[in-house]
Amino acid sequence: MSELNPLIHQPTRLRIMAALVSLDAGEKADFVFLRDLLELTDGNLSVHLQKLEDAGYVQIEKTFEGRRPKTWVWATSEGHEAFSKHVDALEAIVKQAGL
Amino acid sequence: MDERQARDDLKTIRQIMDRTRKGSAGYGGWFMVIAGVTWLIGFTAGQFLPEAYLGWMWMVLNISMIGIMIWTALRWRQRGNVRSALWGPLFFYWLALVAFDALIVWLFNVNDGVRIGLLALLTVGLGYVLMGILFHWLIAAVGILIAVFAVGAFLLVPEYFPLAMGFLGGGLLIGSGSWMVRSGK
Repeated sequence: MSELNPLIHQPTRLRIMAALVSLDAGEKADFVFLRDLLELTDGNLSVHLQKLEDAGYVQIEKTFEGRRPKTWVWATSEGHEAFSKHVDALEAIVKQAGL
Repeated sequence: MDERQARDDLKTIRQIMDRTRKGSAGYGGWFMVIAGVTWLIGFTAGQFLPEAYLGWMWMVLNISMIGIMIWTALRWRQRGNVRSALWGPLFFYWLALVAFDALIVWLFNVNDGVRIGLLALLTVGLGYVLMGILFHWLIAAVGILIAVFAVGAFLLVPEYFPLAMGFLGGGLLIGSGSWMVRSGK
């Protein structure tokens, strides 16, 4: 039976992972888009993304478009799997309570 | 964790996923609408135009279609929300399918316009099915329906094949593409 993932369980990181796993295969999200979507500050999002990257759940790519810096983020396959297991654990809690 | 918090988390996940999908909707739906309009014009005109003009007509229509698609993709790219690493490879994927068809037509000396049209449509259907496996079930379903309509029209109403494909195939692409655009897919 799946267990809750303590890293993803944190509310902001849960929302970040929910956003990233809903992208299609091969897609990556712009940092600014993610920030505005989740209503976070730059710093807040950066800190949580760093923690997720350290765990291997997301990848961050910093590029330039012309002179403008751009940061792209996407969930790794490990991230997808960890999130999926976390959701399974949440659903198990709800199901257990309903029995 | 108690049950209530688990429910709240699951609800949050669903809301964020919905919002992300709507905010990151790509231009795939628009591509299908553009292709559908091209088919509607091209196949309908093909029903009535002399065969000598068909090659030129399709060349102009396809170049226009590709041009509009490229313009759409570039405009979307400027939005900058979400980028796909797959659109470049997909462009070459479709190019390879076109080259494959051209090779078949040349090697097997296919000079019947209706059969060339059928071959092209079956290849497009296959192309959509393979893409649908990667992206979305609806694209695969559209591919299957295109192939079914094409074979059905060829066998049942061969004298009206172009018109049938214009309305059925073009309509299918416009309809499904519009649905994808409206639902943020």
